[in-house]
Amino acid sequence: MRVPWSDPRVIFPLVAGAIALGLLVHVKQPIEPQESVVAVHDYIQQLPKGSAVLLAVDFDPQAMAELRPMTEAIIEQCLDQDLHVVGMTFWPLGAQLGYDMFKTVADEPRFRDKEAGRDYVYLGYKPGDLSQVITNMGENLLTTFPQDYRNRPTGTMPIFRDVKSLRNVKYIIDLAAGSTPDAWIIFGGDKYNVPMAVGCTAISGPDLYVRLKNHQINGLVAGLRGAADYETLLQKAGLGVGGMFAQSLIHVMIVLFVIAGNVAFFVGKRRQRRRG
Amino acid sequence: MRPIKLTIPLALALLFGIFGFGIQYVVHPWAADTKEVIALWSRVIGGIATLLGIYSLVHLHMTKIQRKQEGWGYSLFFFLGFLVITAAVVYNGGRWLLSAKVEQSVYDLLYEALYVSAGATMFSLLGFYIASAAVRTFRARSFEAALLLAAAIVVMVGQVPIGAMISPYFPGISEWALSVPNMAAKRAIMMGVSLGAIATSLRIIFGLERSYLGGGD
Amino acid sequence: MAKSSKTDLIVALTCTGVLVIANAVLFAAGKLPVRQEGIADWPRTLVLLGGVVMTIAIFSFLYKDNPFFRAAENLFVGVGLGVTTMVMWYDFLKPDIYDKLVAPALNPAMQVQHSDLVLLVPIALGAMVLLRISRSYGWVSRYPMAFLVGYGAGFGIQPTIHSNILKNMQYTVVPTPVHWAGWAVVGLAVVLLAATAYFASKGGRLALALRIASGALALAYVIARATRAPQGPPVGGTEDLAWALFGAAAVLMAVAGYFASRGAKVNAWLWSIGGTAALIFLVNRLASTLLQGGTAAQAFASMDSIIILLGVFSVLCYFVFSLEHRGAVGALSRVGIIFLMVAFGASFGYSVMARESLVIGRFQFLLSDWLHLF
Repeated sequence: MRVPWSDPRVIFPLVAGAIALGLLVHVKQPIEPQESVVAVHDYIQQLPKGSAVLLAVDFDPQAMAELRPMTEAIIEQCLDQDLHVVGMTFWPLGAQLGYDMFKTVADEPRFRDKEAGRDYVYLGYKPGDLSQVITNMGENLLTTFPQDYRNRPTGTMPIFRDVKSLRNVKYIIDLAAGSTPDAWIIFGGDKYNVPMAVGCTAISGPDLYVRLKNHQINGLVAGLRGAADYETLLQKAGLGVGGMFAQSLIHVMIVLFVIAGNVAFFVGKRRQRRRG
Repeated sequence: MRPIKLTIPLALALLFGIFGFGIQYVVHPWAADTKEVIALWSRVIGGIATLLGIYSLVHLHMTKIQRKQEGWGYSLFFFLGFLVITAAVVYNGGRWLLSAKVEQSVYDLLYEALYVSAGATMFSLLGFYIASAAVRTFRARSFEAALLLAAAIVVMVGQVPIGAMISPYFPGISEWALSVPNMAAKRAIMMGVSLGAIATSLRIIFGLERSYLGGGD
Repeated sequence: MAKSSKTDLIVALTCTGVLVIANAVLFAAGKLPVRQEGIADWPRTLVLLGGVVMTIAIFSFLYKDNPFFRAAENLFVGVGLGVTTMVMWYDFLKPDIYDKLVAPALNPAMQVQHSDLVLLVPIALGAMVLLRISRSYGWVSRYPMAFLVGYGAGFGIQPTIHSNILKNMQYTVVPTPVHWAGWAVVGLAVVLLAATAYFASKGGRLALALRIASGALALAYVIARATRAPQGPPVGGTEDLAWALFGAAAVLMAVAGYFASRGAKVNAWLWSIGGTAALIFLVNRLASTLLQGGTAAQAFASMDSIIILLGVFSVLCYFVFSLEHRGAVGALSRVGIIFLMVAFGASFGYSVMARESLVIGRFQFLLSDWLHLF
């Protein structure tokens, strides 16, 4: 039994309409942050001032909607905590995006006293096999990145006075759209005993629960929901929180249509059996 | 010619494979220095190899234009985008290619205008198609399909705030489904895939797997 | 002109017209980016409009494949390649090769570091990789590839075993103390599953009822598990659900009993669902009443450990294709399929969430950044 909403000419406008409605008619929903997100927030909160946090911004504009809000939230929290944030990426097409995110946060009026090279630095992209680059970073960060993204020498930067390799980093957070968390965990966190967390797209979320339960990462921020949770913890009304009502609407719509489609399927099957 | 073209590369793969495996167990400082040097060499070789990808894409579109294949006009847009960005990179805000990268240059603006929006939109098209596919084809034709459907529905509703508003059970059941049965299955899959990856690595080292060498004899 | 071409042309012209009018209105209303002095910020305005045009051109594919989409797609690929070239130069070739070897060689005031001279070796090897495109000399690229791939393969074995296999085994086979109530539930589950497996081959109403009861037990555990408090007594709400289920079970069984007493052939479903609801109620009461205080968390954690162990083992068993899936192996594989279906369902749910988030991101850009509707 064919249902009317299964036609793409009907479902596409419905999807667009539901999302537009959800964004325009913004309804505040109670957001209860998940334990795995709270773990990341709380771990950063307890890090002593001046600790180095490595942010691997491993995504490009295609995953920006989910990962940019959480990345900016994490950078904000780290700068608020007077931590030293070191950013880099394994995605060449996201290198500029990573720089833009650091700049967007650092340009906020409350971070006017933060200086690039002293409080934060964005190192850019490095090509090569992930295992080799991470190993290189694990042994010597400055030979891996002799210059930052703006081609300023890293050897003389104050931020690297006490940070020579991954062993000196207190927390690694991989914000990933692909499979880089596995490489970071295997060749970075596990090998050099550095605590790790992962921020990922919702697609990778279920797979990373294994790493969470193995205590290979101590926190997981998955998808736009994870970004909303993080913004809630920081009491910030960002794109994550802003998109939650639209996300709720579209999910409920899809679920209702799927259930209705199944009911129609079983009714149709029954009718066919009665006829035959 | 065969020893030079095939046997010696396979022997090198065996040698370096055993070396790469063994160096993990050497605690002498020499091992750490050697790993660092090899990692640097791997990065440089890998980086230069990326230029192959750039060449092949340019070659593909150039061939399309030369042979006037179907849709060759669109390849002109490819070259338009490539050349405009390359020109902006070479110009580098007036300081040209050999200087440090300039902040807020034309490249930054073009990246945001042409690449960011297009890239984000390209993948967002899937949102419409996945909704359409789910609504049209997701049917509980068997017990297993019904279980998959139920798990998907519980997770979809449980992971958004409205799930907690509909019923307080949704977030809890969703979290349990992710932390226990999903995690158990993914753990087993990860172990199986890792065993397969190790088997493939051993096949490469012992010369049974030669696809990485490329075609020819 | 064919009717569809005429329709497409009208759609294209309408969309272009709407776009132009919308931007004109936004410009007139002062909604497009301006500098602090009030002058139009043309670079930022052009960036915004460029983004809007690219977004709409790519979204036009939802209508149908069209020249605007194809042009935008190819432009996107070309720009992407340009971006890659830029990144390769400024993030790799310039700092790692040009500034270390070429710039000092060209500038007498600078000196090449002796330690950097060794970079000539990987540069030479990289050049050999580039020969892959040559038909006659492509075999030269096998040498650096053998080094890269062979070393990488060997290098990755030990960390993969440690992080992907040993760690997983360590946290799967976990010695956890099981609360006695947990053993009671496990015992009930084992009896029920064994009975289901035994009677399944015989068919009939009993087999159906046992299957439903097995599922009901699983459902009862999930519901009880989902509503427990991390510490302390179970959260309220299970009681209401349990009583509601008991009420539903009582009504269904009363209805079934009434029609059965009138000699009607009562559908087994009514009996099964009634029995199922009663079973859910009983297990829920058992869990809520007996698992009090902090032992609730411990009991559930130990139950989960057993389920995880069963899940990992059964899924691994499913993937062993060298053994025929019959008898005990077949039964275990069937259990593995159940775990896999839940995992794939969860993955599908998250995939939908991910893709819809991307659409939300684009709509946020169009409705907020461009149209300033919120």
